Amino acid sequence: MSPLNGIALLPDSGPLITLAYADALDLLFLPGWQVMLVDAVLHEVTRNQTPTSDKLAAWATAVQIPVVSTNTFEHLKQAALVSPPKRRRNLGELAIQETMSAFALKVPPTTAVFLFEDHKIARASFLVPDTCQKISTRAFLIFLEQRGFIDSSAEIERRAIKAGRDFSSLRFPP
Amino acid sequence: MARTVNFTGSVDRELLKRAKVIAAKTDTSVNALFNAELRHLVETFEAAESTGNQNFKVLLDFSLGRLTDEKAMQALGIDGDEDLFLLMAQAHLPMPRLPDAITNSMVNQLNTLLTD
Repeated sequence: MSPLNGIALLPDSGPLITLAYADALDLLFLPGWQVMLVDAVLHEVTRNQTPTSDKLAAWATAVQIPVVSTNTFEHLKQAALVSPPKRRRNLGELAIQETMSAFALKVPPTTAVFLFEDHKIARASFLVPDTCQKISTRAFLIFLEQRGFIDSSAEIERRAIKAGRDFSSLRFPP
Repeated sequence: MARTVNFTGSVDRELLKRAKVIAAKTDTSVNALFNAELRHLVETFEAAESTGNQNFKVLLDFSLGRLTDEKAMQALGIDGDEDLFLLMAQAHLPMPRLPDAITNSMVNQLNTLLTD
């Protein structure tokens, strides 16, 4: 699957969750790049009932986001038919790595921006091909602010934290 | 009134600027805000520790970038990014941040993509 307009933007689960809490998922479209989701990432953010799972599933369907299929996720589905699936914390990242490699091997290679939260970037567990970029949610929001797409990147982060605190008091009582 | 002492530290320039705005809006000082937040952190940490609960320490280590998300989730017995995000929000701890230089470099990469 190739992006229609040259550059693909693929958020990991962390940025999707943050933007969902900030009620700002549509910011992903502002640069005009083709937003795509990796199948295992979409599965990760919708597999359990959470404060954002329904919102994310509904958003992905409503805006008809193309979903990139991976062997990683297919393997998980096949394995689940044989025995109860074991939770794999890094499944989304494995699928993203597979997608990066597939994009790099295309002729011509696909240029892609992969969004992650800061801590995932700090882990440096990805081999990033030349045509792919690993970008933090914060950097993406600052970029949008600098380009005049949004008024304040800090405001988006604040909204996410505030919504998270509102939800966490319901989900995690002291 | 508790006895106070002066100490020297360093703080993110932009963060200090935002703190000054909050201080002005709430008719207080950055010093008072700093004391309130530090007290919250210390008392939360000590309260958790006194009951043998290590969760706050785990979250603090994650916030400071000393523990990976995987290790933090394992220690907390959770298995999703969203639960970790919510626990951090509830603990009033910021998610880990990359140094500004790295973030700015990523912003520049995006700007290059848009101008190419």
